[in-house]
Amino acid sequence: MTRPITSVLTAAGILVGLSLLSVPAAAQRGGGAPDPAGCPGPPQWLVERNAAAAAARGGAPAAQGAGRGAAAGGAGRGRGRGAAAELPPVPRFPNEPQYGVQAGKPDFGGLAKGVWSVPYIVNLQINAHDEKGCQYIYPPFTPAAKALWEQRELKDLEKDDPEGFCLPPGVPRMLYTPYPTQIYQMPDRILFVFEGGAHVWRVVYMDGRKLPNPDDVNPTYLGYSVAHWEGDTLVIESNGFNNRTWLDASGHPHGEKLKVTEKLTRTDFNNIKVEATIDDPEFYTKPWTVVTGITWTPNTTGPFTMRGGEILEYICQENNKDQIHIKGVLGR
Amino acid sequence: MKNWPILAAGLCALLPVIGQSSLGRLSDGHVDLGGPGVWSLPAVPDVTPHVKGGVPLSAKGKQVWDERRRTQPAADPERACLPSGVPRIMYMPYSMEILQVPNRVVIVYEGGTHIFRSIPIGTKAGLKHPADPNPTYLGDSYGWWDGDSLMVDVVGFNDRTWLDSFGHPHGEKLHVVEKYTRRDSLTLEYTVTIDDPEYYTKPWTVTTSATYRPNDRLKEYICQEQQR
Repeated sequence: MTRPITSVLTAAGILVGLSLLSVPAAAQRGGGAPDPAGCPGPPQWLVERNAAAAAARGGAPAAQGAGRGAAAGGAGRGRGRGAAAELPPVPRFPNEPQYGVQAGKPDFGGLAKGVWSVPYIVNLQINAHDEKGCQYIYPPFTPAAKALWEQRELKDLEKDDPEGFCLPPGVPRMLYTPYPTQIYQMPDRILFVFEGGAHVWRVVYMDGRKLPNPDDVNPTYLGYSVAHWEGDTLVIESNGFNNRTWLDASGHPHGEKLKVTEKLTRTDFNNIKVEATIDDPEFYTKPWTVVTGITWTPNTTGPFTMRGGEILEYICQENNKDQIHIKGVLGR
Repeated sequence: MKNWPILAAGLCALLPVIGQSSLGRLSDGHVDLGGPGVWSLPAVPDVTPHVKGGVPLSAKGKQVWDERRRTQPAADPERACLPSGVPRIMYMPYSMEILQVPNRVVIVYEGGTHIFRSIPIGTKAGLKHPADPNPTYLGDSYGWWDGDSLMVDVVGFNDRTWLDSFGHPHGEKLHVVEKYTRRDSLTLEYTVTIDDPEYYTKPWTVTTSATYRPNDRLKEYICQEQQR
């Protein structure tokens, strides 16, 4: 038996670190550029929170879109400052049979020296974008889900976040938790390894198997994932989740019926656009989509030079001193 | 039958060849340490029975080990759902998969808090570690192929793990050399040489093995879920 093996595409990854990088137009919006026409305004709770914060400061105006975390642009935020477009093209696997399902498809960088920087998405309503590019998202809550989210965010101030117990963030929150990731494409599967979220890994099968009936699999934090390529977009479908994670730090809820569809597109050398569609009829009246992005950080630039292009070891539970102070599914 | 010793000798000579040819290889020529299944790891609470000549504890090593034998298991860092470290992660009765990509091997583990090790692969001559690595649970790994064996050299550990459940100690000077050899399609021999002059009078070697479970996949075990 001979299993095929994928190839190395490192040269471009190293070269790009030496050049100034341009910022894609779509990516600049994260810095405060206006939404497209027709987008809704900020949610009422945010207006009230900003007003209260302003009043507490003695009437000084609040920053637009205040709140922790960074709004990620539609295609992720570029890292560089230069205006010249000198980005190498998106690297690809050779179109040869030993690369299996990855043959001819974009390389998500796992074989180059570097990591993908993951944005800190605290609240999906205000820190990401919808598929039209609007910053403020109004999740189609069921009444019970809305009440649960309001309890978690507005009354409890996120204090019962399961991530506080060093549990895996779940899906799609793995890509909203600001520790880097690397993506390894193999002929029949893809492996994500995460520095944070308890230093976990996530496997996505690409051998043609179908999603299981969620009733047939043991519910897990990271669920059961299969993927296929639609053109140059990797489409990952996942189900089989337990109900112990939140979709973000703000506490957007989900249950065991959650199905997540993630579309990953390497829009240019530096960016992978991440479109996550949340489908959970118990908590939302219809599927809704959140658009964020992850950003390539090569070995040679940025604040992470010390990592040598590698994922570091972050062990959340080493420093878990808060467990006795917080409540929640695992609290005392 | 006069000829049977010759026949037997001939068969014995053939056996290694048969064993080798049954091993799958990747397109880069290296032995495939994976396949459509998982490696089932043995439970090794005490490495002593797997060490020829016994564990050469130093006086300090013996003192710490005796202490832990009295307090164990309450003081075991694994109980805090911390990573098991190396080589102990190979002594915990969960499963693992070895995934080979060019210039790198990624080992993913069901246990030890669902963690992974990402090991750059080069040549033995290219063996290099950072000059002053940040001490970690899993250390800084570098690997190479020695024939059909995968060798991994690991340094840069913190001193917060035990080598086994019985509490064989180590410090930050720990140097581990691992050797993974697929003896046949169902057997992975794991030989590890442990060198830590603070706790042991000389380097010593532990040999265990893992068993392949075809057509299985890793489950999700999250230790900290149960932590009370």
